[in-house]
Amino acid sequence: MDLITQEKWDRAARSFDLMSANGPEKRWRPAKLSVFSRMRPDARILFLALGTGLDIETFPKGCNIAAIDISPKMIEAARERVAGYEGTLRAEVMDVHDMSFADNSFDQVFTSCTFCSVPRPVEGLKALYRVLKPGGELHMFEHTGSKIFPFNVMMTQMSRLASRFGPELDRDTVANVRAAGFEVTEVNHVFLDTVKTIHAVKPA
Amino acid sequence: MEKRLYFVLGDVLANIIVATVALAVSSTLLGGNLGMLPGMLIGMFVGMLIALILSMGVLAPLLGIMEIMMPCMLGGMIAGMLGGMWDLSAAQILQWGAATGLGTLVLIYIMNALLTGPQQLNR
Ligand SMILES: C[S@@+](CC[C@H](N)C(=O)[O-])C[C@H]1O[C@@H](n2cnc3c(N)ncnc32)[C@H](O)[C@@H]1O
Repeated sequence: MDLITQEKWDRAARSFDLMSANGPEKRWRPAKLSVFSRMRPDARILFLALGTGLDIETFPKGCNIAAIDISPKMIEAARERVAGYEGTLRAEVMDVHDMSFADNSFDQVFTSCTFCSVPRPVEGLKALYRVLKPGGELHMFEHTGSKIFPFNVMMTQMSRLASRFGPELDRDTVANVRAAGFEVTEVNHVFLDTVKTIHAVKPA
Repeated sequence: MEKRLYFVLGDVLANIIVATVALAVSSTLLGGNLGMLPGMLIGMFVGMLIALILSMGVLAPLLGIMEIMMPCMLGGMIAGMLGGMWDLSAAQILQWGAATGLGTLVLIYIMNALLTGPQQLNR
């Protein structure tokens, strides 16, 4: 377990809902709904990372979901939202780099604002690749760096500050998904080129 | 493109406020005292710092992170540059602040309309 990352997010858990539950969550709700509507009731689903459970309201009912997060404080804060889900939702403290799930055990993996936060993104994505069945799907809602001037410069500079308390703002997550071995099938920009949904498959 | 009234009005207000405050601070602190180029460069940093504090501290929790940070930082940067170059009166600060905030927001909305949606994949 990466204790430095765990501590960072345990600290962030205290103010996470204050910062994210209103404006950011409402702004992103339509895009999150469109990604999570792809959850299938017949699939075994891995969700990363649970945070305080803000995403749960946008999950379709009746799915079978294992949700993980590295931060026990985040999982604790999510408890009520987890209990309110109408389906099967198990929340566990787990580092994506060190998951206890067997190889090829999930049909679908979903991520939400996670790969700005996971410290070693390509390795984290490779770990998701390992637990996904061949032909399995990866669906992501992520914010990333920009390729457009002056936003790229702004994001790189701000990332230096933001990464001390929370996420990195300048990652190329689409390239990371490819580098982990996935075949990217769809990329949709939600806001400029900095908020996007990414869909990929593990080749069969 | 954002069509929800709460967010559209919020974006307009947030961008006007950030640009006006950035312009006021950099014009008061620097206001043409340093010469054109240094005033512009230092003003740019002052403007960005103010935009960062206002957008992350107050506005983002109400209106969204990226959607506030990106236009406000750009507007703050431009307003800070203008304030660093010129000593402006209060009326000019209000007029130019509003114009800079609105102008950047319109630019971001246009860019957003062009950039959002499904992307061509270069496999
Ligand atoms: C920005 S939050 C997003 C939470 C939630 N999905 C949301 O959108 O509200 C990022 C989350 O990633 C988790 N995280 C960071 N590194 C991780 C890792 N290595 N393994 C599992 N979770 C991790 C953090 O604890 C945090 O809850």
